[in-house]
Amino acid sequence: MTGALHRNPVMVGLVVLTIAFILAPLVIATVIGFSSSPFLTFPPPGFSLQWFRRFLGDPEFIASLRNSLVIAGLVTVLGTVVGVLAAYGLDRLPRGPVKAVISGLVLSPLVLPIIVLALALFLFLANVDLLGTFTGIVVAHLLIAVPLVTNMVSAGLSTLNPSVTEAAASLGAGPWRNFGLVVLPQVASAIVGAAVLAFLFSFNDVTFIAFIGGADVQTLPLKLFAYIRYQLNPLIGAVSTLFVFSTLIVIVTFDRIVGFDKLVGIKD
Amino acid sequence: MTGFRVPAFLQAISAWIALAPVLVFMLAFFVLPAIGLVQISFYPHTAGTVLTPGFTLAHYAKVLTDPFYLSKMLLTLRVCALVVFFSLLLAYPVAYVLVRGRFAGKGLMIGLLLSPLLTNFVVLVFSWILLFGPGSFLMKGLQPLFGAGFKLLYSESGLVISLVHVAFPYALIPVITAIAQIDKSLEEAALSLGAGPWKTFFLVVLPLSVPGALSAAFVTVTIVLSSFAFALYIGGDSVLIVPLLIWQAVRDTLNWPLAAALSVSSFLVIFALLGIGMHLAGLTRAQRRLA
Amino acid sequence: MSAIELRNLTKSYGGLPALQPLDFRVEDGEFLSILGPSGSGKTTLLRMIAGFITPDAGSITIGNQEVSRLPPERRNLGVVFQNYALFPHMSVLDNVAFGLRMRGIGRNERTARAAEALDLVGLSGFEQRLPRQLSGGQQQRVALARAIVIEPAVLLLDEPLGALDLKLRKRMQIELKQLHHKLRRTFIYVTHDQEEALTMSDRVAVMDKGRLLQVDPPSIIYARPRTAFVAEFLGESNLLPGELRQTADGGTVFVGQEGLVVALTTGQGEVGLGKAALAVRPERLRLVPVDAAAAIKAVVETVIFKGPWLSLVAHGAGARLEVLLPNDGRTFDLVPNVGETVALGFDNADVRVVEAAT
Repeated sequence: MTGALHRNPVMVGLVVLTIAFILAPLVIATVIGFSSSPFLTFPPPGFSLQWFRRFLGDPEFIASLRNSLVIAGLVTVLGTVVGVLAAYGLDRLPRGPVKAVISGLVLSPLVLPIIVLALALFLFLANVDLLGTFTGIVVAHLLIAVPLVTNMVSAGLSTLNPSVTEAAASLGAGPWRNFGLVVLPQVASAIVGAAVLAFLFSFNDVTFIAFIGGADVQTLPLKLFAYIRYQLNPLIGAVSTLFVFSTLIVIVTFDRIVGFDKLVGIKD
Repeated sequence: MTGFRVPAFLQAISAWIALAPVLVFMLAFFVLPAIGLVQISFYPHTAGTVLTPGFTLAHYAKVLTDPFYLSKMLLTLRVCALVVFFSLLLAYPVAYVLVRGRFAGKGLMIGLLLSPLLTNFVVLVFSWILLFGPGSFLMKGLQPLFGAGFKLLYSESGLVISLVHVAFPYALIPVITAIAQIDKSLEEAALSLGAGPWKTFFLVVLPLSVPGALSAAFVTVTIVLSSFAFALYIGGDSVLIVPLLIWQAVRDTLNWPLAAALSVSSFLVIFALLGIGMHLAGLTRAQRRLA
Repeated sequence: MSAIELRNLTKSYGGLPALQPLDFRVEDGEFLSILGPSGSGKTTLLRMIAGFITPDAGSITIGNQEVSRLPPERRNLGVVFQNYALFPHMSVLDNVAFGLRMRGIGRNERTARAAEALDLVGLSGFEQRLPRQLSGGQQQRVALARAIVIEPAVLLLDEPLGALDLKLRKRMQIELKQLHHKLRRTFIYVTHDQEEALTMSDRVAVMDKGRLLQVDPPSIIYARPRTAFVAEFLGESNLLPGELRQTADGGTVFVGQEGLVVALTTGQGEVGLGKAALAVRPERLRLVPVDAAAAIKAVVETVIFKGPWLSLVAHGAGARLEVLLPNDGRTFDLVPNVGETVALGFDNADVRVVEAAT
C-alpha cells in the first residue's frame, strides 16, 4: 500500500486512543445508570435497575418524553416534505445568480452558530407571543431540519443521471409524475437518511429549547438540563443509557441502509 | 440537472411552486428574526424592562472596548483555537487510516466516531461531569501527576476537552472528504522519489487537504460558539466564553440588547474568519499553481 | 404520413451557433443516419426533434403536426439514449411498460405488450431483473424495447451503440436494421461512426459545425461527396489542390499542381469555377508506367504492409497521397523503394471535384 502509513503503529495507536476518547464518556454514563448507589461513584458499587424504574415511573419525565417524540415527529414530517420540495425546486432552477442566492439563503441556518439562531428566534417569538409554545419549538427545529434535508437531498439529486428523467419525459411523463415515479425513488435513501438526522436533531435539541421552550412545553432534554442543575444522581445515567442505546441502533441501521463510508465519500 | 429545456416558463413555474414553502418559511422565521436581532442590538438597555426601542451603539462599544468583554472575547478565541487544534490533531490520523486503510466495518467505525454528534448534549455534559468531578477515578488518577490542586471541572482545560469531544465528528467529516479526494498516486510518486511515509504525509497529504481542514476549523468554531450548555456546566464562571455571556445576558441580567450585540459580533467574527480562511486557501492554491 | 419536416432550424448558445439554419425532410419509414464529428450539432438536432431543446427559430413538423412548442412528453416519439437511461429502481418489465402506463393503459394489457416487446428484442425471461443486473448489450435492448412498445411515429436513437464493444456493436447493427425492416417506422440514428452510418441507413445526413452538408443514400455519399469534408469524413480520400477552369470548347478541366490536368465530364461535382480540390480514394489509384498521360507524379515516402492491402504514402501534385494497392501476391515485385518517383493513374470516373479545403 501507499507506504503503509495507515498501518503504522503510531498512527493506529492514535486512532485507537481517539476511539477510546470518543466512546469512554458515553460508556461510563451508561454504566452509571445501573448503579445501586445514589452517588456518582464510578465504578458503581452494585448493580440496580432503580434509576430506570424511577425514570419510567415519573409522570413528568414520561410526559416530557412524549412531548419530545411528538415534536420530533412533526418536525421530521414537515421538514422532510418542505426540504424535498426545496431540493427539487433548486435542482430545476437554471444555474445563475438567482439560484446561488436562494441556495445560500436556504442553507445558511446550518452555517451559523445555533445560539445566534436561538436568540434571534427567541426575541422574535417573544414579540409574536409564541414563546414557549409547541408551535414555537417546532418552528425553531424546522429552521435547522429543513436546510438539513434540502442539503442532503440536493446532494443526492446531483448524482442522478439526467438522461433517465429525459427518458421518462420522452415516454410521456409530465413534470410531477416524472418527479414522483422516477426522481424520488432514486433519492429515497438520501431522503430517509436526512429524515433520520432531522428526527435526531429535534429529539436531542437543547439549545433552542433552553432559549425558547420551557413554559408550556417540557421536552426530555430540557427536563434533564434542569435536573443536572439540581439533582445530580445516576438517574441521568439511566436516561443516558436509553439515549445511547437508541443512538447505537440508529447508527447500525443507518450504516446498513445508507453506509457511512459512502456518505462521507470513501470509495473502495 | 434532472431537468431539460422545456418551454422556459413552464419549468420555472414548477420550480418556484416547489420552492414556495421553504421560501415563505425562511422569510418569516429566519430573515425577519435576523433583522430583528440586529435591530434589537441597537436598543438601549434600561434595568427592569426587557425591550425598549431606540438606538444606541453602547452595547457594541462595550463589547469592543470594555476590558472585561475584550478579555472574554480573547478567551473565547483562545478556546476556539485550542479546540480546533486538538480536533484536527485527532481527526487527521483517523481520517487517513479510514481512507487509505483496508479493513471491514469502516462504516460502523465511522458511525461510532460520529456518536457524539448523534447523542444528546445533556448526556455528554453529564458524562463529563462524572469524569471531571473531584471524586471520580479519573481525577484521582491524574492528581498525582498534575498536583493536588489540579481540576478539570470549572476549568479551561476541562472545557476544551469536552468541546473537542463534541466537535470531533464535525471536524472529521470534512477532513475525510478532503483526504479521499487526494489521488493515491501522488503519495506513491513521493514515495518513489525517496520520501518516507511520514514525510509524504506532511509534505503531500497535509497541504493538499488544507481546504478540508479549513472547513473543519470553521465548523468547529461554530460549535464552540454554540456550546453554552458545556460552558455552563463544565466551564462555569471561571471560563466565561461568549456563548455563556449571551446566556447570562438573556437569563440573568435580562439585557437582551447586549445579548443581541454579542451574537452579531460573534457572527461577524466568524464571517471574518471564513474570509481569512478562504483567502488562505486561495493563497495555497495559487502557490501550488506557481510551484 | 409521418414524415418529419425541419424548416429553418437554428440554435445558438451564448452567441455561438450550434445549428445553422437547417432545412430538410425525413421520409416516412426511412432509416436516416445523422453523421458527423463531435460538435457538429447532430446531437443538438436530435434533442431538438425529441423536445429537450427549444430551437431559437424555425419549425419542426411531424406528420401534419407542428411540434416545435410541444414538451417532450407530448410528442409521442421513442428515444433511445447512449447511456440507456433505464430506471434503476424499476424492473425490466416496469421499465418497458412505463410509456404504456403514462398513456393510461391497464396493467394486464401493459404487461402483455411489454412482454411482446421484450420478445422482439430477444429478452424474454428477463422481466423481473433489475437494470444493474444486466450487461451493456442487454440494457441497450431493454431501452429499445421501451421505446418501441409505445409504437411511436418516429424512433430517435442517440449513438446507442457507442458504449458496446466491437463485436457486439456489429451484431446490434444488424439487429437494428432487421428491427427497422420489421416495424417499418422512421428511424433517426445519430452516430459519429461512418461505417455504421453507411451500413445501416437508407440515407445519410452529414453534418459539420452545425451545418447540414449533404443528405444522400450511402453509395452516393461515398462515391459523390459534395464537399471536401464529406469526402474526407466518409472513407479516406486524397485531396489535390487546384483550380476548375473552362476550356475553349466549353468543357471543364481541373488544373492541379505539378502539371496535373484532368478533363471532367458532367456529374463529377457541383463546384463553381475557381479554387477547388480533386478528391480520389486511395483504393482507386494504381501504379502506372512513368510516362503515362494524366497521371500524378509522386515521390514515395513510406511503404506500409496492411494485410490485405499495401499502403503507399507519397508526395505529389501538391498533396500527401495515400495509395492502397491490393496485396495479390504479385504486388511485392512492383513495390517501389522509398525516394523513388512513381506515376499514379486513375480512371476519370473515379475522381470528384469538391470545394477547396479551407
